[in-house]
Amino acid sequence: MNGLVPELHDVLKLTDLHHYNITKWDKDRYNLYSKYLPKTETWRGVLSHHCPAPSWEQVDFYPTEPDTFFLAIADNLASSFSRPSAEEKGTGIFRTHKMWKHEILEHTDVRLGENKQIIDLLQFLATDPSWTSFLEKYKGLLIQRPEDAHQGKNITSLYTHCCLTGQFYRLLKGYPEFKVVTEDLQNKTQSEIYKLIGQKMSQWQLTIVRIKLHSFLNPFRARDLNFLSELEELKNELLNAYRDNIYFETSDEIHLILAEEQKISDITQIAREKGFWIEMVKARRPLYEIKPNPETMKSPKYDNLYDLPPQIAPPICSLCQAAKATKDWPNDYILSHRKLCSDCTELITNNPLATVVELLCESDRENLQDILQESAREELCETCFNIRSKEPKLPKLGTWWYNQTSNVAWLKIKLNFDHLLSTLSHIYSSTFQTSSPTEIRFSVIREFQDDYNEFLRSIQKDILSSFNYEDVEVLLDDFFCLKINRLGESLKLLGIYYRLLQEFLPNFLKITPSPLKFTIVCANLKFPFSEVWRNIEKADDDIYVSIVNRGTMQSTITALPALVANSSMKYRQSSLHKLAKVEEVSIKLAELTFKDRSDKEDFSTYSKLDNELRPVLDFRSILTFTKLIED
Amino acid sequence: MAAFIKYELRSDALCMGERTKGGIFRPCVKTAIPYSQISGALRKKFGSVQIHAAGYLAENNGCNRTNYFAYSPRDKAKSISKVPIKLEFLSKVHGTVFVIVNDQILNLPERFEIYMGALISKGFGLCQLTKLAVLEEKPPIQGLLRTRIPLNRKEIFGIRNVLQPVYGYLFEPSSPTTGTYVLSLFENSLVIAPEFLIYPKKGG
Repeated sequence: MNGLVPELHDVLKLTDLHHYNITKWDKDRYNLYSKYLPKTETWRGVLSHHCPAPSWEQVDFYPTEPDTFFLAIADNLASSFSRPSAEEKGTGIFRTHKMWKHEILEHTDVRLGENKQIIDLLQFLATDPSWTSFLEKYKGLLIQRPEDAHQGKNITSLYTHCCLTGQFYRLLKGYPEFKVVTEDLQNKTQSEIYKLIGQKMSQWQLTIVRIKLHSFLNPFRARDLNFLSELEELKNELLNAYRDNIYFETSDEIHLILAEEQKISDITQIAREKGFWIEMVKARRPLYEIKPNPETMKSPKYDNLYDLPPQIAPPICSLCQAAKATKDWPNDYILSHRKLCSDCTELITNNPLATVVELLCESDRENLQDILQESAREELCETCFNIRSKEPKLPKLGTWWYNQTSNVAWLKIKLNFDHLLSTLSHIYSSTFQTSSPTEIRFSVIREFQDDYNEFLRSIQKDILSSFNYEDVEVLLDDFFCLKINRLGESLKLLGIYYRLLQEFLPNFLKITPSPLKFTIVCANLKFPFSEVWRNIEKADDDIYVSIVNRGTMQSTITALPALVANSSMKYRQSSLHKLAKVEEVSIKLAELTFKDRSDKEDFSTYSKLDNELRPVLDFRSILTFTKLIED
Repeated sequence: MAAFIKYELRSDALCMGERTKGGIFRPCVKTAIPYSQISGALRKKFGSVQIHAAGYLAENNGCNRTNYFAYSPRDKAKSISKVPIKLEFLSKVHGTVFVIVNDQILNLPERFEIYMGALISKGFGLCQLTKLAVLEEKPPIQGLLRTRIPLNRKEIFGIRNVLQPVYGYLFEPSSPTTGTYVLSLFENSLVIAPEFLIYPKKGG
């Protein structure tokens, strides 16, 4: 027995029948289907999870048990619009319109309408299926069918709504302080239950929390990038532990709904053990007032959660600066991770590695070849030592490192959650011609999550197929490192980004600031990663390309088509090279050279660049762009 | 809240090392002038332990450029050179320093020079300080901290409330050869503090 499966509460929306009031079914059809009606807890949830205002609609079934009462509230919280505003009549549009995609012009009704289809569904429901087994049969349909078919309300799929309802249901039901008992509900009129729901939604409070995970460790060596694997592991651990609390996540951010604030301390503790601290914003409000962005709720609280001692006696860890150093790199690593002969073990136990390299036996010197290339001594804390000691999970990066590869391009795609909400609100208002800003609710964000993940997977796939497989290291879902022979190769990434935005998120190409931030940092591989990371963290432009110590290019997303078009245009290389060289002396001189008409060929190149890019880039960015196309 | 004397700081080359180090790479602080660095340098110059100061580096283009210096420290006892290290430093340094006014520093000169940071024997760290103004007490406001101040010194800098800290550690000497690392507020901590120490932000 699966009990009441909250995700299945709207299962009748897959059909063309009334989805909760069976008395409104056509009489003949009711007679045909009645013998197949399930007798399960889930079916009770299907029929009695709605409690509309009696003035709007009188219903025979409404919540009279705690589980259906929680289900009614969960259903409300997981809807894409607050229920009262959805009371509109009109022809339904039974296809989900995703706001980040172009509008679907063809409106096919995907619902099940044939008797056999409906009987099949009812018979399947009578077997009391779990949500997982239901998905095996009907997931495709759930994804196509919108939660609300009214024009302008069809912006989230039934699938997303059902998943989110399940999450809210378990969250509410599992919190002991949200108490409602059968006696509170039985023998009550629809009006009384309707009022009680409103009362509880004003009384009960939930906390919306946005956390960003930051590593204490400042990575300097290829091995230190193991912190990214730690980040991934930590995030997966949190995703598993707080599955029902999370409504959105990126590679380093998690957005949660919590009934108990104590869970924040638990999360901090888990993060601290793995070498991370947490940047947090939260707000606790009644259910009526919760929104996906805690910053837009009343009285948001900001905090950074660390758990650090007030003092640390020297030595302090060189990598994290947040704990006492108790390990000696590389000696302690060699002694704990490599097998050496007894003589060499004694040498390393008593002396810094750099001073005894020549005294090691040939076999052990061979064994330590990789370590000997990084012979500087460092004092590390236990956590940083353990991260660095793990086998590098980015083997290609290590190979480039030791093969003295010169340049790499670091690509990071970031998502600005505030910009995401404002962009979606803007798209909605302009698509459906509303005068006031539209409130974006949890279900829309959840709907976006799946498409965003798909977009990132496609970026990864495209990069791996456009570059030599051996030249690409996937650090995170949204973070890549590419070995490049010429700086200009990094412009290929702009082309990939543009193509996939057109495919997955075309409406984002029109609005600035974009929710997505595309950042490329080109640097020598040995340039300290901590500096690259700082550059990436700092970048907040829609498109940001930095060539370390040589310039940056910043632009809005609306400039992307022009940048992509120009990156494949033919420009006179000697003119570009000249401009880059002049800029090394003075940017003002470069600006004069750019406008100088004395050399016709140079001027023709510069005026072409000026015409193409000046509308979308400032002069410094044009200079950086020329360095990219010139190389 | 105490009054502050505002100084302009200029230096040709300055290397204020970060605590975090990457083997042979030694990064430098690029935005703040930490309490430990400037207070230590001023105390050394004027011989008073009651000097408390902090500041930040200017952000305008053309100054505070990042450069690199390769250096091979020498172990004189063993007469060997150690592995060469690459140090980051700033050139054309321009910053602002705020010194807390107290009885002992009422008579600080209008202009003076100090040595601050690392590699002083290699010609780095000479800084010229020029008095710009005495800042009067004003109500603190909310914003992001632009400098690094030990947590136990926040009150004397007029930091009334720490809303969202960014923590790190600064070295606090207890004798010429010993000391400890103390928990400190770093740049971008959200605080309620005197206007000149912060970037106004987040409802400030």
